[in-house]
Amino acid sequence: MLKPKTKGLFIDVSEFSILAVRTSGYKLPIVIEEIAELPIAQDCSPADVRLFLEQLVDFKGAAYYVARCGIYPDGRFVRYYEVESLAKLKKPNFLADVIQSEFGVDPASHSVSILDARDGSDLDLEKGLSKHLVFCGAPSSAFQQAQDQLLEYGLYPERMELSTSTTLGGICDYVKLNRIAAPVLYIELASEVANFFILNKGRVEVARPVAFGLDSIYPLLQRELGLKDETSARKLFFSNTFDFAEMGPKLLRRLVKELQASAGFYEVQTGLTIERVFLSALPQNLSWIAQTVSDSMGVEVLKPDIGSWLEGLNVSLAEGVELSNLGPRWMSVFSLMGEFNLRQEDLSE
Amino acid sequence: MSKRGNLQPYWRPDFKIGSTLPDIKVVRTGFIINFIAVVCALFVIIMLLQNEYRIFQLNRSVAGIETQIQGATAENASLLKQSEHFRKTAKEIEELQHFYEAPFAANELLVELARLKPNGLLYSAVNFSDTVILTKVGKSTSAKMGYNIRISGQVRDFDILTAFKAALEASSLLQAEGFIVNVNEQVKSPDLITGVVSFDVSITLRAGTAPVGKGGAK
Repeated sequence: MLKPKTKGLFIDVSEFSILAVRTSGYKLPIVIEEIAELPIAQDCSPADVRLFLEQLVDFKGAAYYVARCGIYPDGRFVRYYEVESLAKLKKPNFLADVIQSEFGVDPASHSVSILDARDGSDLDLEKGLSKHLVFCGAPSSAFQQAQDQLLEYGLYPERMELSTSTTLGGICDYVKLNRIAAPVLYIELASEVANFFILNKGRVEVARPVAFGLDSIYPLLQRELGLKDETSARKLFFSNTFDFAEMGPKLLRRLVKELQASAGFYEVQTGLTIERVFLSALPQNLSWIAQTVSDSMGVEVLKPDIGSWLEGLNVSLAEGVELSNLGPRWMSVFSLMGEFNLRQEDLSE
Repeated sequence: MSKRGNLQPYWRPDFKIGSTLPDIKVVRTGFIINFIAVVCALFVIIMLLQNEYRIFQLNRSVAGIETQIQGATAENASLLKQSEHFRKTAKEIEELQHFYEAPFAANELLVELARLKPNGLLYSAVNFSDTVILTKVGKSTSAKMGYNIRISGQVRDFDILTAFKAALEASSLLQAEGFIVNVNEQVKSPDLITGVVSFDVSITLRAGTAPVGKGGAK
C-alpha cells in the first residue's frame, strides 16, 4: 500500500504563459522542488504543453496528472459590492438580483462565488454576515472550456481556481504579512479586459473592471510607428526589441486616466493615500507597463519578496530553487499554495 | 474536493466542474482494501460459525447421552443392587463352603465303605449327620463342624468286625486332612439262634489337626 508520494503540481495558465511548480505534495508543509515556465506561442498545441509538463512531473503512463490550476476564463469578473443593510442579505434572490442589476451578469449562466471582502472567506448566509462582499466568477461555459483545455494538456484539475481572485488573495495576504499600512492598487491587465482592485490592509475595498485591454493598444502602436497592420504591432509589442519606456504613457493613457479617476475618488472618500501598485500576469518584457503606471500615478511598484512570504505560509524551497529572479506574475501560481486562513494576524479595524 | 476539511480556502473558491471530469481512478485501492477487509471478515465469521456448529453438535450429543444415562440409571441401580446381592451371597457361599469343609464327597464315602466291607459283614444302615460345635476361645466363640457317620449292621463274628474297624481306621479317605477321626464301635449281644452280631460303628470327624497316630477310643 505504500507507494511513493505523488508530487504536487501547481499550474497557472494565462494567455501569456504557463507557470508550473512541482512540489513535494499538496499538504502543508509544502516543499517547492522545481519551477518552469512555458511562454505560449501563437502555434502552441496541447501536445507541446504536455511535453513541457512531462519534463517537470512523472505522469507514470497515466493520461492525466492531478494538478491544482489557476485559470483566466473569458468573461471573468471580480466585483466588490457593499450591501446597504444586513437585513437585505437575508432576503431570497437578493444576491442574484445584485449580480444581475449591478454587474450585468446573468446568474443562471454564470458560476459565481461570493466572498467576504474583509478576509476572502466564503459568505455564509447563516452566520458571520458581512456587508462587504466580493462576487467572483465567470460564465459556466468559459469554465467548461478552460477545464476542457486543461484536460487536453493532460492535467486533471483537482482544484480549478479563478487566478484573479487567488492572486488577489495572495496580495492581500502579502500586505497583511508585511503590515503595509497604506492602500495598494492591484491591476490585472489582459488582452481584452483589465480588472483593478484597491486593497486596504488586506481587505478589498474596490474591485471593478476597466474597459481597457492590451488589444486596444495595438491600433495606437500601429499608428504611432507607422506599422503595416495590427498584427505586426502586436508582434512588436511582445518582442524584446523595442524600448517602450518613452512611448509607454501615450499607449496607456486611457488606462491611466481611468485608474487615476478611481484612485482619486477612493482617496478622497477614505482620506488615505495609495502608495503602491501591483500588476499581475504580464510577462517580463511588458514590465514597462508597471513602470509607466507607477510613474504616471506617483506610486511605487510592489515587487513582492516571494521567498519570505512563502515561508510564512509554510512553503519552503528545496535546494537549488531560486525565486529572486522571478517576476511579480509568479504571485499567481504561488498563491495557489496559500492557505490564507492560517494567517493568525488580527488587525484592528 | 477540498482537502482542507470543511473550510474552503480564503480567496480561492474552486470552480472545477466535477460532472464533466473524466474518471481517473486507475487502481481502485478503496475497492481492494474493502475487498480484503470483507474477505477477512467473512473468514473470521466462517470460523466462528464452524466453532458454533461444533459446539452445538457436541451439546446435542451430550444431551442425548445424558438422556440415555438417565434412562439407564434405574436399570443400572437395580443391576448394581443385584450385583451387590450376588457378591454378598457369593461371599456367604464361600464362607459356608469353607465352614462346612466337607472332608469328602458322599459318593466317595459310599464307594469306600463298599470297598471296605468285608465278607460276613452286612450294612443295614448308614447315617451321616453333622453338628456344629461351638468352642469358646477367650471372649469369642468359634463354630466348627463335626461329622458323624453311623454304620449299623450285622456281622458273623467279632473278628471280622475288629478287622473292619481296623480297616476303617486305616482308610486314607476317612483320614481326611484337617479332621480328627475317631472310630467307635458298639456291639450288641449276638443273636442266640444265628450267632449274628449286630453292631454300630460310628466314625466322628471333628475339624482340627490330629496328633500323630490314630485317635483313641472316646
